[in-house]
Amino acid sequence: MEAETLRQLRGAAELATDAVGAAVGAIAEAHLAIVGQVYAPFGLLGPLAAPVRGIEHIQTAITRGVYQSILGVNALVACAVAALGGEARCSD
Amino acid sequence: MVRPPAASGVTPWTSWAQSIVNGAVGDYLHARQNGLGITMALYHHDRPLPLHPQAILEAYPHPTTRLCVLVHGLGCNEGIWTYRDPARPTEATSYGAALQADPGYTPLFVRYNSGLAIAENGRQLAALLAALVEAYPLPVTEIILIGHSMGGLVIRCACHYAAQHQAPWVGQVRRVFYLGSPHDGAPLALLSHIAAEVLVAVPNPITKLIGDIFNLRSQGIKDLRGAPLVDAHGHPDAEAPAPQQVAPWLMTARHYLIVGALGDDPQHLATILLGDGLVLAPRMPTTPPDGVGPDPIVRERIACFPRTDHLRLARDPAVCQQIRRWCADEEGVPDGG
Repeated sequence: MEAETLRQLRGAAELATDAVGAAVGAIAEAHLAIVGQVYAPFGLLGPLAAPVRGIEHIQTAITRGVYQSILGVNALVACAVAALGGEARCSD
Repeated sequence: MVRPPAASGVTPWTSWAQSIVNGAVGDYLHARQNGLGITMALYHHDRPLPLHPQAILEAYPHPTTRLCVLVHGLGCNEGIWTYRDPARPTEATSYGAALQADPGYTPLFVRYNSGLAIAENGRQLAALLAALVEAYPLPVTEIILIGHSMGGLVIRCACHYAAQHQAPWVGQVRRVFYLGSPHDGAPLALLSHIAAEVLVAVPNPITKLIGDIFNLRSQGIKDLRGAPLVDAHGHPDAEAPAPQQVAPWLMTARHYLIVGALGDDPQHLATILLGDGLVLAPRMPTTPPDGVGPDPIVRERIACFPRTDHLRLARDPAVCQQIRRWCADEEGVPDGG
């Protein structure tokens, strides 16, 4: 395979992992903002506020975990692509 | 007879995909040094043409002293110029090939990262043409420039920077043809800018997300919302942004505007509102350049083609005929007159 074609393939793979990373980050942010909006009114109900906050923390942690795991796999793929191309791009 | 280089090959879909991605997020690719980013060059048979005399002679065995440089628009590449020859339906041709056959211009096709700022591409084009004239195996006596859509704005910026630095090639430019170039901005680009601003401003996570995605569009697309801007005083200072001005017209060349219209009647309300589908017809006369003398656009050098959409402007036999007619009518004109 020609060097130029290889460079373009690596570029396409990098762009795909960049896009997945950016999309997952933005969707996670929007998701967490919506979760926060749903739980916010319960914070005004005195006796319910503390247990609801606990549930919110649990849900937020699970949500973050799911998105972080996707980002982690994506980062691994990005590293693999960089390694195939002989570049160190894992620290980005 | 020499086979016109422009007509000999079809640009593969992978090159088209790369050009579309460059148009959409080309500034990001450039910043990340991504392998998909296109470096501006003259392309011949889907490959960059090295700028040294031997390579040029291999690509163009019979070069002439008159050059025709074609610059594509947003998200396109030199393949946009190729169309089926009406005289020989089995063969492809292009404006470059037609101008090579008569009156004998050597056609050169530029490919570039259309997602970069228009002014930046203008700077790169000015440098590319300087290198071309230096490497060209014959002395260049005349250059005509043909720009489709954004390509016309890139040419305007390139001429400005070349004139600013007194590049020798700019003195050889006799005519510039703008095919559907949004000299006053494209309404669709302006609309997308407003939509993105509104979506981000609405206090809702979903609309903000959509607005953020919208804002990922390239600087090249964003630049299309108004007249092309250039740095007023040469290269910008790295510390402080240089003041900007509307790119002036090159006063030593003749400028020709070719516009399309979706309908039959250029005066019809739908045509006035929609133009060629992406770009509206220029105002008559067009916006005067800021402080650089009289407007060089005259009515006789504006042609409107009915039932011709934006993309067709780059591959229409009637448009090609008009360009050749203008070249023939004003053959031997020494300056912008």
